[in-house]
Amino acid sequence: MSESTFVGTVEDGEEVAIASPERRERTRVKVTRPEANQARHSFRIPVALRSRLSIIGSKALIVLAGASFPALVLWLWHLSAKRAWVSPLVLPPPSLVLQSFRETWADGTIRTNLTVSGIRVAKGFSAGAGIGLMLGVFLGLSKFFRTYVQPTFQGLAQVNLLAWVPLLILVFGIDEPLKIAAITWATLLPITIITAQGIAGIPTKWFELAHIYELTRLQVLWHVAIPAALPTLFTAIRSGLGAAWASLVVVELIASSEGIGFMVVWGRQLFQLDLVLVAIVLIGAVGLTLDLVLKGIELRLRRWQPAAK
Amino acid sequence: MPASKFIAAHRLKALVLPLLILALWLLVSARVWVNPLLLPSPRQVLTTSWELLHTRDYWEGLGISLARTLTGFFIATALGAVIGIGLGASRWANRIVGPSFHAFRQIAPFAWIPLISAWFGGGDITKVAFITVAALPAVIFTTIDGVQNLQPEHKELARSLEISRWRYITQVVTPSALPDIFTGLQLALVVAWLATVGAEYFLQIGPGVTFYLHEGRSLARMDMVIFGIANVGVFGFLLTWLLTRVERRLLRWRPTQATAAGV
Repeated sequence: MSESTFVGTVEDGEEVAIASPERRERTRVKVTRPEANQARHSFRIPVALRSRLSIIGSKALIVLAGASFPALVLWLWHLSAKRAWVSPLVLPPPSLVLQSFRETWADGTIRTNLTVSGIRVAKGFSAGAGIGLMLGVFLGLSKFFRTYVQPTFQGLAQVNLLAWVPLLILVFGIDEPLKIAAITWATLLPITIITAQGIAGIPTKWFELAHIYELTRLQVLWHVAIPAALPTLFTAIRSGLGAAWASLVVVELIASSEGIGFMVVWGRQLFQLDLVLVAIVLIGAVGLTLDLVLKGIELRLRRWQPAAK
Repeated sequence: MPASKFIAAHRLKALVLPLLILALWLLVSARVWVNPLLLPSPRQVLTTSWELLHTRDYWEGLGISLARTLTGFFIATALGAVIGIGLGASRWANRIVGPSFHAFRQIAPFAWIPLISAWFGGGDITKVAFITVAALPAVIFTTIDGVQNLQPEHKELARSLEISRWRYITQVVTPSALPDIFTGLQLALVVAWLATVGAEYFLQIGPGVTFYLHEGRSLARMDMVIFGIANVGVFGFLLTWLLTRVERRLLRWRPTQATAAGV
């Protein structure tokens, strides 16, 4: 096969004569646009445009695929309510759930409960994050802490929150301090563990260099350890916040008279499962939002990590 | 051997802090600095534990709790591995179900308990179902990770050998994802144990190892509560320890199997 070259612009459908050096004759070729013959590597701008369009298209397809599953579930739920497959007492129809969401939103129930829960999480989380970061830094930096404190800490971490709750109740009563203490403990665990890992994972060379420059402990912490471990610290914060939110729901289920977890208990006691579902969806929505926002920030932080290395 | 000596020294050092705490505890209760109802003496806790350990109820409850945990854990393992491999191997399945799953995971599992109990009551099946549902995401997500971390060379080799999809999944994907699956199982077992404690807590309180937690709390018997906490900690630890042993055993053949799977 021989290749012929042709330089110049042509209109769509125009016939161009190309001289083939081998056949010594002129062949007439019909020029068609790349869109028409689906050929690749032809004209520049349409190709770029097309690839962009196809990226948008495939992204839309992915979003659509992701949305199709919840849509299917919702449709089945709706259908089962309409055809009365299950009693509306057991599974309230989506319309009723939506209606009770509107009502509880309008009369302020949701906002009051969310505020109460939010304040609890904020208190417990900030205490837990503070203690956890400090403990994690100590465990990560100091060999002394690692040998003497870490095993005990890990042992205590083995016992899950729910087992501590009866003890906490006997110590703190069932009021606000119990909730804050439980959330603090739940936040502290992942933050301490991840922080310690992150700091212990910093290359020893850096600490040696800091040693050569005779930096003080505080300077090492501030100029070497924290910047190097920053993305990991953020991962720690994110898991801590997730744990705080989950533990909030747990303590509010056990003992509370307000808050988003209490909404679940309350709905259950009245056997108004639509209320229970509203509260569950809210719990999920808040948890998801927190996670997505922090994940976004974390990705941004991670972006400069290679540059720091 | 210097190495074992080093490890022994390390283990001894790990005991320093607990011993210090114990000493402090002894001191505090001997001098009655804190109300003994709130902080019973170590001796009291030991006698109570000793008495409870000699009751038939304790061992029956323990058996029931462990059976619940393991049943839920095994069901979650089987389901999670299948779903995870499916989602990991098929891009479109992952795209369709993945986002919903991620959102679902954000709901604290305990929030479902009131709803589940309204649907299915508070019996044993409900408890096991709850434990399964709680442990499932951990298995699924790590399995997906494991499948997607498949080495490209293995994938290419499998493709060029034109093996069937079934053989590809059973002989290439699954063995190479096993270490990740085991990480998921570790997590799932921890969650399953937590869920057992939670299920016994929130659903109908019946026999179970966590019985002493509630009983101790309602009787304001701190010694009983401490006994309950110790049980939750010890058996949680034992379960994870056992799983690590099993994992080491099972994954011993992994390097040879990995090469064999490629061929």
